[in-house]
Amino acid sequence: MIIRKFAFGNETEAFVESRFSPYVNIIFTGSNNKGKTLVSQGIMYTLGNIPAFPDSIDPDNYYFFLEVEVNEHIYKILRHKGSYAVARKDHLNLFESTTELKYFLKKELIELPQIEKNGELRVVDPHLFYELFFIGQDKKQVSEIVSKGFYKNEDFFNMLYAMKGITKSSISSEELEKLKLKKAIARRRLAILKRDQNGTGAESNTYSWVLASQSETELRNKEEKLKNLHEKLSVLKKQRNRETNRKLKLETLINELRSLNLLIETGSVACGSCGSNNIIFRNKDIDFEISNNTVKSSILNAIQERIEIKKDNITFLNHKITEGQNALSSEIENIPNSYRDLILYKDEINKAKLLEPEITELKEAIEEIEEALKTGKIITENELKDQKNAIGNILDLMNHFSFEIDSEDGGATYENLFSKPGKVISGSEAQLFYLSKLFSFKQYLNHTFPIVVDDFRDKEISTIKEKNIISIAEKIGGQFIFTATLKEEEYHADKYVLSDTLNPIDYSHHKSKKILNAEHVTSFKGLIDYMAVKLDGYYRPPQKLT
Amino acid sequence: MYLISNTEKNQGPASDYETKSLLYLFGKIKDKKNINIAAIDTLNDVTGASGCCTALWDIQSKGVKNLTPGEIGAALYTLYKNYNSHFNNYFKKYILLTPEIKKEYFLSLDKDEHAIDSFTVNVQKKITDGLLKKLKKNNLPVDEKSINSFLNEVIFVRAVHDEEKYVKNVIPFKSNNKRDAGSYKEIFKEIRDRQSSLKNYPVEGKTISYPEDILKYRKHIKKIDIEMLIVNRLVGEEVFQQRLIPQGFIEELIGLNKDDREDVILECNSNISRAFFNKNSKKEFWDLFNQIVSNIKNCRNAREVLNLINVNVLSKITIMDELSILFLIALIQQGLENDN
Repeated sequence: MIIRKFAFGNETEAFVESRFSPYVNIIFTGSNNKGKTLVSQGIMYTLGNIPAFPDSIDPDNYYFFLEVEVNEHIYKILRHKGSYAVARKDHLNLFESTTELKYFLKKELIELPQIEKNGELRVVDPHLFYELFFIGQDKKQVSEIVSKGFYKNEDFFNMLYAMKGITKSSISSEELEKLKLKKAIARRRLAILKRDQNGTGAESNTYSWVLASQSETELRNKEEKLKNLHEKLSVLKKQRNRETNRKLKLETLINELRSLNLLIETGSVACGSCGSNNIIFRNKDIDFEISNNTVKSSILNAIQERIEIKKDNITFLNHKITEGQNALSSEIENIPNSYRDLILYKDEINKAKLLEPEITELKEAIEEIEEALKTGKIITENELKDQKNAIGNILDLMNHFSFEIDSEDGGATYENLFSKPGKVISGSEAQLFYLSKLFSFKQYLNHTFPIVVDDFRDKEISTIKEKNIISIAEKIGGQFIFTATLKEEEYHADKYVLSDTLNPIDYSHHKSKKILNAEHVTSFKGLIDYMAVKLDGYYRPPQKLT
Repeated sequence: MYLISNTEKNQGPASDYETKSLLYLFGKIKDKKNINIAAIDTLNDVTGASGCCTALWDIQSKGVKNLTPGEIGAALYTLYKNYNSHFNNYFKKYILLTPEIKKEYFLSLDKDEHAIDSFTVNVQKKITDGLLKKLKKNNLPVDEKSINSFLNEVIFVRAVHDEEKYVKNVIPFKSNNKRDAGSYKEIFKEIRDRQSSLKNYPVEGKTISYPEDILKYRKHIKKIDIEMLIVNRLVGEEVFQQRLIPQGFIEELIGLNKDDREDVILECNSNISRAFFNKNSKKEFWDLFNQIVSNIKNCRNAREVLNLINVNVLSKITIMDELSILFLIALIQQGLENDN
């Protein structure tokens, strides 16, 4: 994938950047607030990333446009809030969410890998995938992936393994028996715990009880908060129910159609005199069948795809609901206990909560076993070895790059893709760590995505190190987009020399905090007009209809 | 091992060219707007006719590669018989449709359709001889003047495109999804098989007074039927695949929120899917298609088209409710919107 153009704006102000080259690009300025972060975050945002824009901009007020080249095809992507329009030649596709975009990306632009999550195979979300080649300025961490929450470090590793073809293998029949036994034991224990928990009756009564004691203002505020959380939760649950119903409808439909199809195939008639089985019911008008195999399989496949998207949405909603429920119960915990009934009730809630971790653990274990039983696959010694080798190879590369960048100090030796939490690492050391990782991924996975690093020198990288980084990038080949804030004394327009392999782009002349301007609006509109009109009421207020 | 031979091995390619002739009449020929019906294996391989059969376009299809001039001449036999027949005044054009003919035979060739004078003089003579030979063999009278004026009227058409193009020419249906040639090939095959099966009804030896009498033998295909077939197959691939709400359907969604909209569209797609899978209501479905395709021009949205559809036809469709039918109409409208 090569990034060719990026633009963002609305009807009053815009910015268009079309100077990207397919090799190393460096956007630089002598001071801050010239728009470099907006551009690098904007690029990834358009591709479906979770944004980390500075506070100076509210992305919902703008349209984001990206033109990329993939496999010699040009794709134009337009994003506004949660909706996307993707154009390739004459074909325009619209998507109402990043999840829908994800499946399209997987089909045409990016081979997004699948990982096992919560017992199901899931296509990774773009924001996790992009951590392979993108680092923003803020929110980066040495000990964790950026997109934590739904995903964990473990998922990132699984993604790497999946991309290298390291997958689970089949279970033998004795192992199968062992697993079944384990599952039975776990289920028995789970039943006991749940029985104990139900005695407290905590979950359903809590909310209505809180409503009852309305005298204290403190409590009233809590009540507001709880109400909001509860409402949010209801909305999510309603949404999940709707999605579940839709999925059910689609599944029923697909079964119905398949059985209709079967009925048709059984038996046939043949002509008595010539033996042809091209018998057609004659009537006054038409003699063709109402559909053919192409149409039928197209319909069945399309329905199946919709079902997959619904499953994806439901998984995500479930995650959000769990989050919401956790937030709700932690709020409940913090109720000041100045009342006798409060105290009484709190005990019951606490009792139930105590059982919760073990219950969750057991549920997870059972799910894992069920998954293994269902798929007949489990991780074996060989896979574990392959996984270890894969990580070993990446770490070797990281150490190699670290040495090449930091040749005067000998480079660092890395032991894992993520550092131990709590370990203190200085700014420039961390930056080396991120850069080595990105270089290594590029080399190891041999991927074709551009490497985008916002503020690649961070604050303290020395000139020599910087030179090394740039020359490594030039040597590795492929597209790089770095941004850099130079110190006042080292800034001059020729700091980076234009060559066949380096493309410096100077943003210094941008007005501070004002990269968007009125002059670019015309060309911006030219880029997005056709797509934006289809996306939503683009600067034409939607017609007031009845 | 027994080797199967002496079968009609040319059956495949021959049928293909007959279908290309049919689609040529409906989709490519300059007068295509006047041709509404094609009679199969009656007056000739394919004979196009205007609605009331007052004008006829006669095609002889010869799906044989590398024809010699003599073979070309012989192939003109039936066309010439028609030229000399009782129906002479009805025939507007005489066409021979073949695969590519050797370049050496031509003086200069840059078009797919040409008259006999594109051939070299030598080849023209051999063509004439070929025709004469066949006439003599069948003991038919030979009138040189008549033959020459006939030959000057014949149009030679080279069928050099692939099946996809022939189908697309009949009615252009635009889609936002990528569609590979396979869809069109299957439509072509369906038309070909239907056309072939019509040949099984024997009319050899029967006599008719007017061209329109040929219709009573039911050996014909109507253009609207082919148009409907193509629209049906292509719109079938649109079901559950839309990325945009079809323009003609937007009015039906006024006042609905995002969730309700999604549910409505899911319902419509589901009902239309059922219709595509339900063989039992074949006739009703085709009647509906007929009404839609006939009434769809010049209507701004789906409801306008719906209002033009025969009430009886609508009432027979049990598997789709009004909203689903509107959605189907809107999908068809969307596909045809570049037609005019």
